Amino acid sequence: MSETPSLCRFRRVSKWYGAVIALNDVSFALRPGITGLVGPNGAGKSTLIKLLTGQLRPSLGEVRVQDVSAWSAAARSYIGYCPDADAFYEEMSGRAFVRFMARLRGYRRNDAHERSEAALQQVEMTDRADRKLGSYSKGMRQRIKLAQAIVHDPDVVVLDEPLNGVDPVGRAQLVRVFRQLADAGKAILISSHILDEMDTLADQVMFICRGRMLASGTLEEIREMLEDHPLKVRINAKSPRELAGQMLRLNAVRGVQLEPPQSLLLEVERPGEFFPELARLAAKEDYEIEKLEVVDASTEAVFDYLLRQAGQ
Amino acid sequence: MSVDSVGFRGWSERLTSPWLSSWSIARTGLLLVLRRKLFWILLGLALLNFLFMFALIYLKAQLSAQNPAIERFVDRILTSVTGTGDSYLNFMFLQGTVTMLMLAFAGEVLVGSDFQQGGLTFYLSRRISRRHYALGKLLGIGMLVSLTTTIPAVILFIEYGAMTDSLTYLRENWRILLGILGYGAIMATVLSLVLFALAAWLEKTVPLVMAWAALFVLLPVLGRILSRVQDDEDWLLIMLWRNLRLLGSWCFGSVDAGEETELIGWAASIVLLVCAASVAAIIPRLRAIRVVQ
Amino acid sequence: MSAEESQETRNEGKQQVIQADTSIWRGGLSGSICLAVVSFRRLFRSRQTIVSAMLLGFAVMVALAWSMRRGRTPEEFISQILIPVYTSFLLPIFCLCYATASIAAEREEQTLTYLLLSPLPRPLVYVAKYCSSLALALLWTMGGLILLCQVVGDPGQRTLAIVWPTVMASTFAYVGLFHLFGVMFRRATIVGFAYALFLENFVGSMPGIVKRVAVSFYTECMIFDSAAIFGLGPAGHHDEAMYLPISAAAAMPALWLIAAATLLAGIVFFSRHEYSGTS
Repeated sequence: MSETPSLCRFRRVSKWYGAVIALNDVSFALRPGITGLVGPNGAGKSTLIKLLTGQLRPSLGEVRVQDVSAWSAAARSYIGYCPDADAFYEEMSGRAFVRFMARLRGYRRNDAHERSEAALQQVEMTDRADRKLGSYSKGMRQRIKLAQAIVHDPDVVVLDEPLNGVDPVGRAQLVRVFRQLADAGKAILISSHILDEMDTLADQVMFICRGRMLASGTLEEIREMLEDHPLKVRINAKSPRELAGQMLRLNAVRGVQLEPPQSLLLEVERPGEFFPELARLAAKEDYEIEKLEVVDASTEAVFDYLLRQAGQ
Repeated sequence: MSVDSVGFRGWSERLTSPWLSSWSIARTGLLLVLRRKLFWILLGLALLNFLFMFALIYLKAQLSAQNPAIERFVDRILTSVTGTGDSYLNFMFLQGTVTMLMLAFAGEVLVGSDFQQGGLTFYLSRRISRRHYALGKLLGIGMLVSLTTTIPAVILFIEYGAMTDSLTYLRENWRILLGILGYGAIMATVLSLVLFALAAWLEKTVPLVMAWAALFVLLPVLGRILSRVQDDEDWLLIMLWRNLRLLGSWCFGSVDAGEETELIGWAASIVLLVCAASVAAIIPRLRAIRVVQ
Repeated sequence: MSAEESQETRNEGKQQVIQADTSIWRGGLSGSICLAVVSFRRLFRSRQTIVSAMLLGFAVMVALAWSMRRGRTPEEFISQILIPVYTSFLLPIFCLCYATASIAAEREEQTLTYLLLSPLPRPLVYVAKYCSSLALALLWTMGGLILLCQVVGDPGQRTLAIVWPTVMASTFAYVGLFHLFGVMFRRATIVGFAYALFLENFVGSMPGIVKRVAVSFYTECMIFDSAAIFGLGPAGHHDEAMYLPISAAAAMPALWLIAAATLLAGIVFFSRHEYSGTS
C-alpha cells in the first residue's frame, strides 16, 4: 500500500480559529482506496475536510492535492466533494443540478450532458432525476450529492456522512459505488459517525480526536500498534472447562466466561503477553483448540480504546 | 384547569397550562435574536438617542441646580427634555427608524425561519396550539419593540423625576407614565402583528426587508406626495408610523379637541384595519400546518 | 455498466479533465457564463421580483396621480417624484435586493460550497454573480425610470433624457457596494438596508462634507447639476451653503470610481476569504 503514490498529502497541518485550535499538527497521505475518517463531534473532521477541499487555508503546514496547493483553483479539478449539509438549489431537478455542476467544472454543454448522465447512472438515479430536488427523499438527495461529486471523474472523492438517511438497500448500492471508485484507483475519504460501517467499508481508518490524529492505517495495523489494548478473545476447544481453569492462572487474563457447549470468552488485558503464553500452553497440553478469534477488533472497539487513552 | 388545557411540560417536567408555553416561545425567540452580533450593533444605534437624551436631562438638571434663574432659558433651548408628555412622545417616535431596522432583522430570525425551515411543525408537534405559538412570537417581537421604545422612555421618565428635588414630578405626572406604557403597547402590538404577517408570507430576509421598507419609508413619501397633489391632508393617513404617533398623543392626553380628535378616530380605524388584515394574513399561514386531532 | 465500459467512461472523463485543464480559461469562461445565467434565472424567479414589481406599481400610480394636474414642469417632477421616490428609495432598494441576495443567499442556503468547490477561479465566480445581479438591477432601475418618466408625459420625458446616465452610474455603484456587503457580512441585506435607508439619510442631512460617503449624494448632485437647465440649481431645494454640492463633472467619475473600487474590493475579499460556515 505504501508504495502507491499519494493523491493528496497533509504535511504538519495546523488550523486555528482565533484562540481555538481545530487541527493540530496533522500529517497523512491519501492513497487509492477507501479511507475512513472517524472522530467524535468537534474532533476536527470538518476542518480537515474543509482544508482538503480548499475551503480553508492551513494556518501552518501545507495541504497538497496532486502536488498543487489545495487552496488553488487547479486542485479543485481533482477533488469531488459530497457535503454533509442537505443544501441544494431546490427548484432545480436532480438532472439539471448535476449538469449545472458539470458546467461549472468547465465542460461544454454536450460533454456536461454526457458526464451528468454517466454520474446519474452510476448512482442509479437516471430514471428519477427529472423530479424537483425539493421533492426528493433524504436517500435520493444523498445520491444526487454523490453524483455531482463524481461528475468530473475526480481523483480524490471526499464524502461527508454519505450514508446518512439512506435505507439499507440504498446503502448497499452506494457502498458498491464507493468500492467501484476505489477499484478505479481513486482515493475516497469517508467521514462517518457510524463506526460499524467502517469495518466493512474502509481499507484504512484515520482516528482523529481533539484536533490530533490518534492513529491511522488498516485496522489490523492499528491493532498491532496497540499492544496493551484489552481484547475479547473467543476460543473453541474440545475441553473448554479445563482450558478455562488454565487461562485464569495467566496474569494477562482478566476474566473468563464459558459459552456452552465448547466456547469460552476471555477478557485479555495485555494481548502482547497473552498470545505467546497461549501458544506455549497449547503446545504443552493438548486442549484441541479448534478456533481462536478476536471478537472486538472492530473500529468501534479500537476507537473507544483510543479515545480513552487520549482522555488519559 | 381542564385536562385539555394542561398540556405544556415546562422545564420542571410538570404539566402546566399551554399558555405558559407562549412565554417560553417568546423568551427563546428573544434569546435567538440576542445571540446575533448584528442585534447588538442595532441596539447600540437605538441607544445612541437614548444616551443623548439621558445626558441632556442630566445636563439640564445640573445647570438648573447651579443657577435656578436659567431654568426657563434652558427649557427653551433643550426643548426635547422638558419633562412633558410631548418630549417622551417625540423620543419614542424618533426611535422608530432604528426600531424598524431592528425588526426587519428580527422578522426573519423570529418568524420567517420557522416557516422557511419547518420550525412551525416542530412547535406544533408539542402540546400547544397555533394560538399559543402565535402569541409567543408576538410577545417576542413586542418585547424587542419595548426594548428600544418603552423601556428607554420609562428610564428617562424616572431619571427626570429623580433629578428633581422631590417625588412631586413622578407623583404629579403619572399620566405621562401611562402614556408611555400605552403608546409602547400600541406600537408593540401593531408592529408585531404586521411583522408576523409579512415574515410569515415572505419568509426570507430580502423580500421582508423590501416590504418593511415600503411600509415605513415609501408609504410616508407617497402619502406626502398625494396629500400635496390632492391638497388633502387625509392622504397622510396612509403613513402607519404617523397614525401610531397620533394614537400615542391620545395616550399622553395631548390631543386638542375638534379636528384632531376626528383625525385620531381615523388613525385608530386605519390601525385597527391594518391589525385585522395582519391577523387575516397570519391565520392561513398557521393553518398550512395540519395537526391531526 | 460492465467493468470495461466503466473503465472506458473513466478514461474519457480523465481526458476531458485534462482538456479542461489545458483550456482553463475557456472552461472557466463557459463555466462562469453558465453560473451567471443560472444566477440570473434564480434571482429573477425570487420573491424580490414580485415585491419589486409591486413597489414600482405603487410609485407609478402615484406618479400618474401627480401628472393629472396641468402645468407640471420637469423641475417639479425631479424634486417631488424622482428624488424622494425614485433615487432615495426605489433605486437603492432594487440594487439591494439583487446584489445582497446574490452571494449572501447562497451562503445562507449553504449552496455556496458548490461554487467554491468548482475549479472556477474565485474572481470569476464573483464576477459571474456580480454580472447576474447587475443585469437584473439595471433592468429594474432603468426600466423603472423609463416607465416612471413615460407615465408622467412631457416633464418625465425631458427629465429622462438628462438623468439616465446618472441612474446607470448609480446602479453600478450601488450594486458594487451591496455585492461587497454580500461577501463581507452574513446579514448583508440588513447591513445594506441600514446603509441605504438609515446612514445615507442620516449623513445626507448633516452639514459639511461628511455626506460624501453616501452614494445618494453623488446621484443627487448629478441630477441637480444636469437639471440646472430646468432651474433646479446646483443644490436642488437644499441650502447650498449647507449642502455643499459638487458638479456633475466631479460626481460622475466619483460614482464610477465607487463602482470600480467596490467591485475590485469584492473580488479581492471573496478570493481571500475563508467561508467556513458554508456547509
